[in-house]
Amino acid sequence: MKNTSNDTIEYEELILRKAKVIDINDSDKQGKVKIRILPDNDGITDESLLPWAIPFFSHNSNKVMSNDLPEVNSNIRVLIRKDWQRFYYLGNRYHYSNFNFDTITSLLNNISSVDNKEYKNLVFRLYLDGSLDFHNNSTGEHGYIHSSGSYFFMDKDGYAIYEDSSGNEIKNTSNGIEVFDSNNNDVVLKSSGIEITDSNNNTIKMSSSGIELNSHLKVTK
Amino acid sequence: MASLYNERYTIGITIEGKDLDSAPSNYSFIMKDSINSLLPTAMITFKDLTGQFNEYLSFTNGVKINITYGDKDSTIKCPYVVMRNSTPEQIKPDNAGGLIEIPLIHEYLYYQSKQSTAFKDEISNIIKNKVKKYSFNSINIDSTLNKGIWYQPYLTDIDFMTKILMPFPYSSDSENSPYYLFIDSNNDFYFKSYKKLFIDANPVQTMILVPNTTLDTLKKNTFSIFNSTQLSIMDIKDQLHRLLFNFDKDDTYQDVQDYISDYPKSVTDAKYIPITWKIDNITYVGELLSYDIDVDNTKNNNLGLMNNSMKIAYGLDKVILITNVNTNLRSGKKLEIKVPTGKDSKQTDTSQRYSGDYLIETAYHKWTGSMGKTILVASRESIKLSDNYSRSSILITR
Repeated sequence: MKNTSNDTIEYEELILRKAKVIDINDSDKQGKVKIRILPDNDGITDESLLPWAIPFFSHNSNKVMSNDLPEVNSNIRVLIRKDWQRFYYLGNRYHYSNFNFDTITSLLNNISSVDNKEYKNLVFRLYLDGSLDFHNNSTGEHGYIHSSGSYFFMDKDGYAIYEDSSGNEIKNTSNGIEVFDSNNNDVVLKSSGIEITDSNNNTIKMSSSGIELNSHLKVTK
Repeated sequence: MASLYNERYTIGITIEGKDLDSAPSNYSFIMKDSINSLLPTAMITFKDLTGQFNEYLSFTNGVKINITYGDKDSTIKCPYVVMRNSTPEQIKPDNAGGLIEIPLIHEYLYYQSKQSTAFKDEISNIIKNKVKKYSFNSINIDSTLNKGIWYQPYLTDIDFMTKILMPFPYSSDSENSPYYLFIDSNNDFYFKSYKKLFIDANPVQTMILVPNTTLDTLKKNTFSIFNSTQLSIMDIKDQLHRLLFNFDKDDTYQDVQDYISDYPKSVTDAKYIPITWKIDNITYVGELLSYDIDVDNTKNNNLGLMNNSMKIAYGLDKVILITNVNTNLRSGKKLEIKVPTGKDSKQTDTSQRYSGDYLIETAYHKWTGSMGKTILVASRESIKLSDNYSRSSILITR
């Protein structure tokens, strides 16, 4: 003759709710976000009483840490213990109006060497600052485009390129490494010592004692 | 306004503040309260032969009805609202008259509204502040040690108190006994620990069984009908031997095992729980709150969970007794019962098995139309037996 569900201690039972992110500046710096569960918490006027939610999924162990906070004011999905004693956030709530693949295509168009931009193949994340991480599941192309326009990119053959927003490039190709300055600036190497050796064992060595040339060929002007 | 009926019973029913225009012989009622239910209920059975009461909406759902009932020594008064008006036995086909059954529930339900709010306070203070807005006859609250943030997510006060708060109340004063939340048939509000209701309390009455006697001739301290019953082993299996687990502050899995005989902690003298069972077997596994966030109330909330989820065990051993109407005997009161071993109540030998202290778990105060009676379900967790009591060795002991 049990009276209520309070008569036993059950395994943790969670209920799914929607919430708005109010604050991500956790003073404990432990990955918590302050949420307003909707509509259940909409009557709480004192925001200090709103619950802090912890990530439901985490990579954290005693050696591994990660942090990936949702955006303030974004709508997220949360799981709550049925007694409202623990709050876990799952991730942002999906809404079709927030998903525009043209934005991604437009950014990828800035890298001329991207071979495949098909929606179905792309894993990507567009960050709040406007930069983009992406990977192509079909070709293995992988890259990062900074909001300034600079990017790192590894092409389908495994060659890497870095290009800044001014068009300066460092490129690794089947022909070797190319360094290209687009603004008629010098290519500068700065170090306490620099040694350049080609496959013919021709060497230019710069050090504190001066410049040494070691060549099987003549030096011509 | 209540009046004396047959120079013995005090009876009065008002409908929306006006006296019911009918003699007590035309109706019967039963008032019920229980420590296991917040709201007391009642049922009026009324002979509305001409159908005029129904015609003029006297017992429409939600109508406020007060019942005053008792005898010359003690009277209770409780406000109710009509839960459902029905006429199961229509007497004449040409009108709505008949025997009307009117189930009632405490008026507190009428004022409930779903609220979205939160409280950073003790559970006992939250409840105190909630219930003081309603005019209870008295408010009786034990303090707790569960200071934290408590959410009322569009719940009524009743649901908030019973579903969100009641799993957790804990106090070092309660000695690991559970808390009860109930309103009795005298409109008295209680949020009390078992320790304060039973262990620390004195019996309001010592009741002696007088078999084969009519109710009319019984004195205040006697009862005539006695039944004993126990909860089913299936009802109690979740409390016999529990394994409870959580993750601690170092994210380490930990578990604790407890037994029905561990509760309440404050009772240190020997006791016998009237069950024989293979108690070494784990009968239940449950999960406590983990320390995955650093909040200071987790420890006491877990203690509250452990204590309050043992509540059913405190009513394991029940007796049902019937006596003349005595409205002093209400749920949450302690009772001493003496059951003579022979047929004669004057015998000094009483049954060790059934005599002793009980907590009134449920009380019914009934008016039949001609006489009054009180029916009590009283219960306890364990019994006191002498060391040489026959077969006591088979029982679970502390």
